[in-house]
Amino acid sequence: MAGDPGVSERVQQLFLETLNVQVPSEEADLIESGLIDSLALVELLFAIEREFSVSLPLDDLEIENFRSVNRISEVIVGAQA
Amino acid sequence: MTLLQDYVTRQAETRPDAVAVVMGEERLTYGELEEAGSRLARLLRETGCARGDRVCLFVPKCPAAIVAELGVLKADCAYVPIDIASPAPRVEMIVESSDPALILATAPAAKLLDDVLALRPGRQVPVGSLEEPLSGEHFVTAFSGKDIDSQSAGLIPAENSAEDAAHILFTSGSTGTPKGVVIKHENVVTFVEWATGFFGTKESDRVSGHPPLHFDLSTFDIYGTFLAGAELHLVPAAANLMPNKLAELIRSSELTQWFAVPSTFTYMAKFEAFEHGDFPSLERVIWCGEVLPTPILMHWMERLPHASFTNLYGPTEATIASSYYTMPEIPASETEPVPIGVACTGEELLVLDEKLQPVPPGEIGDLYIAGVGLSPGYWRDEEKTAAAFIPDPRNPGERIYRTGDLAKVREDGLVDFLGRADSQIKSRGYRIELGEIETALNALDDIRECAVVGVETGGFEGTAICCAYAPANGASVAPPAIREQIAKTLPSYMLPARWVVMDALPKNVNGKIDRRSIREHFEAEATAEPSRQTAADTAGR
Repeated sequence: MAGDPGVSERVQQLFLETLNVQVPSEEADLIESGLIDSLALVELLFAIEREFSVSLPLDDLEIENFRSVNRISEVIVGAQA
Repeated sequence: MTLLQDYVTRQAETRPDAVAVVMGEERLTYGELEEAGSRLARLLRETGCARGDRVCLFVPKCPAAIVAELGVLKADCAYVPIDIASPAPRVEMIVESSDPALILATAPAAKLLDDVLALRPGRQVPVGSLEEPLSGEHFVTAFSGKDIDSQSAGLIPAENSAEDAAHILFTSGSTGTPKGVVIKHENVVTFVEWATGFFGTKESDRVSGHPPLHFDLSTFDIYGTFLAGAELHLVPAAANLMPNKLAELIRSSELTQWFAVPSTFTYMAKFEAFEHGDFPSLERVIWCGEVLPTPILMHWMERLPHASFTNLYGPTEATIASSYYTMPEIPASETEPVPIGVACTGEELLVLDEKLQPVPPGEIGDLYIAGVGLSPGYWRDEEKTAAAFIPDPRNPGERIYRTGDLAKVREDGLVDFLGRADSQIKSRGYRIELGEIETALNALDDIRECAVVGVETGGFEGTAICCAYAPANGASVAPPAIREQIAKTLPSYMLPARWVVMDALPKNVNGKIDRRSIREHFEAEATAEPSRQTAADTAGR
């Protein structure tokens, strides 16, 4: 389910708590704006796996999947299915 | 006498169809690169660029950026590569300091360039595009790719000598203003001639171009490759986020040399991005820029027994690297330190006491570098130059560079790196003065006092940047809001990863901020929260 409001809100909360990053919007480009770098990505992956009890294997790592809060939320929902 | 651009000319004369630069589907042969460089140089001259002028490059890492560097050199000018991921105010300081005769840009950097020019509306500097014409509210390009292509491709005789500047590379400055390190042609020439000889670089090599072009390490990739007539495979900046993509690039491009900063090695190891016997073409693995943790090095060496592993060491001020150490075997234990080794040909590592006398083997001293790698100094900053490049006590006609690193010479003559004598840190390969971050924080009205410290977290990023601050009276600002404000002036790699808000910062008996106690706070936090330091391990499961 793309754009599940509960999931994307929790993802934004993870950005705030884990990375101290206030995401401007659910569609904001996190890569272009530099809000995600390699360090942030590692912390974020860990936080997502813990928060949502999902596993995001390396082979699924695509930059596009982390481009926005909405994309990340879709990946989480997909991994939960 | 050799100039850097001569390497391309030589290859173009003898092997014009050999591939010089590759990125994705794009490739340039030596013949194409040589002609494109000469065309650009002609147009730069026509536009008024004179010998010794600076040209700022607002170009992401791509084959066109390599053409731009070459064209600037052929025009007898020096290039200043701009980090286009940096915020406009910081880039503006670099443009203002370099005082360019021209700016070269491509579309991905047009917005940044417009923002930079907006900060100083009176500046009169022409902008040229390497591709399609560009414009913004504050500029219109004076020429574009079509005008470059219409120039004659014949060789332009050089007026420069090897003593002239080839580029100026800006690094973090402790007072908040980046400082420009001037690098002469001969600085790079002497290093790459040593390095290609030492590593046995050959025409059939496929060499990675991993560091960003504003890192001096990139000049080894570029000019070492061209000297050997090999292929340079540029690694797109975005690939850095995905360890599996980096591994795939090494594999599918059949790279023979991989040269990167240690955080990249750690990232790829923690994500298990490659297997035993992977990368069969890889002959040499080289790192530089900061300490590579021994367990990570062992992970790489165990899986890639067919490759050699070499640690390079050296600050930008001494050009690319000044010493080397090739691992004779896999380290016996995870706690065994990897030495920075011995000096490259023509260079010297000196470990001295405060009176500039050599300390005995085994004792800690300040590390100085002497020899052919030394930059002439900081761009238009005699004071900083005189403070860092001092007369050689053995021969006052020569200079030695004070690295700010602590080191000791072992009984066997190898040198060990032991940390910093000041508040400079390395994080993900970036050299960062913590003072630059504090300057940005202190400029905010919401901050009464702050301290930024580096803490070893055991994580893959090397040193974590940690910030403690006390809000100004009446202000109540949480770290995300502070982070957002300083992100307007600092590049993202300088933004603190850990934060603590205090009513007042701890002070020592002299009334100064007690940085040790703040550092201990963050160290305790990292220990109490194991998730923090093992995030990478767990994520890679």
